[in-house]
Amino acid sequence: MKDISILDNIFEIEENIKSNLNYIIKGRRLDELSDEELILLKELYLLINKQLENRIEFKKKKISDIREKISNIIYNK
Amino acid sequence: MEKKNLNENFIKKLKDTKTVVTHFGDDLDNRSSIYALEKWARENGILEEDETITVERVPAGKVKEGFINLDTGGHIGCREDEETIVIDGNPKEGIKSAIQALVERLNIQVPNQILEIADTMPTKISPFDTRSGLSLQKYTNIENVFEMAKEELLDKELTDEQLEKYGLMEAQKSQQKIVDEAVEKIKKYTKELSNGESVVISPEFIKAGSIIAYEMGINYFASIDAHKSGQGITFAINAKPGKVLPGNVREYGNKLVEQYKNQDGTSGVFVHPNNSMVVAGGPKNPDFKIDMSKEDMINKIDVLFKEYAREDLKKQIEQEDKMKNKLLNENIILDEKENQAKDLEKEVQGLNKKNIDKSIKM
Repeated sequence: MKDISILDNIFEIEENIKSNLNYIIKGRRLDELSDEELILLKELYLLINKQLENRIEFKKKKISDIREKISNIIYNK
Repeated sequence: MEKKNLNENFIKKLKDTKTVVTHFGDDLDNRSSIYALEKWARENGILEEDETITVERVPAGKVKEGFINLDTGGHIGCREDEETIVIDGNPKEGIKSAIQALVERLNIQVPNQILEIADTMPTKISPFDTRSGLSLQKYTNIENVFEMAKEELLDKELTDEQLEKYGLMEAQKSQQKIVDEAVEKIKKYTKELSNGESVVISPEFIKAGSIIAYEMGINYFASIDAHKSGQGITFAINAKPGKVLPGNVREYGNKLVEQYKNQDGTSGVFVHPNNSMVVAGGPKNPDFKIDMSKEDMINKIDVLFKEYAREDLKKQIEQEDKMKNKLLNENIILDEKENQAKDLEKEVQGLNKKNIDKSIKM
């Protein structure tokens, strides 16, 4: 990863994570970050990925519920 | 050389010299190899009952030409000609230890547990278990160690009766003291690295330090000590079994190997073929020293590990970034699927209402 552009496409993360990322990265490349900043960045990535995983589980459940509803209508349950 | 000639050559060499050459310092591998060879030589009439083999010591990794070299401490494998015989482990070819190479070479019998354990770090034996046969083997003679191995006690806790039988009661107390002191020093010299790992950089020799550090969850153990002459230093950097040393640490070790190369091609600095260890001097090569101050070497090792940790942390972030992209894509696909499911639901609901209306009219 030569530059960090994660802010452009993560629209679902919490505002405070976004502002923390903004604060850490300030448009710099990984090589330009200090060890402490890299540690924080990794922690934030872990948070973001955990949140995205949770969202995936939530969406899967929602789709499964809709499919069940459709099935109930079709078979007149 | 044919097998028959090989054996004749070996027997002749042993009869002529009655000597084996091994590395400085004792470990289970060279102790058991020398003992097994001596026993075999007596049983085969090469040695008289009251004769013993003379043991000569050389720095680890060195070979003394014209002799039988048994466990060089360098894992250099076996080689043999009419003048010199080398019997050593060669992990790259699946020979874990010199005793394994010796057993295969002469077809002699030793307890299986010796073959399993010599020159390896058995994972099921904890160094905190100060009653295990392996922890205590160095306190007793090799005959007792073979007896313990026959009873498969090396990887087990010895009972009070067994400690008494092998005369190891006091030894167990001494071993416990060594472990307690080591834990205290390890805590003092442990440095947390930015990538989440940790390393011990100890400015003094810690008995059993590395194996205890690994058991405490530390991946790397470095120990730097002043040379016995009062000038220069010796050091060792080890990685936990199953791990290798960081690339930049190995690179530095290889640079020192070149820098301290002897005319015969050997070096006072040894980098283990499996990349788990860099060692310069120490018990297996006591005369060797690096011309550097202790502080400079501590700082050098510190910097090497910090650089490694930073690069590793950047790699971890890159992995997490890839994972984030994968999860984002999965989210987008699921959004589409959700929309399709919602559209279908509306359609089915509409069709259902039409059917109900039709039924009422009929």
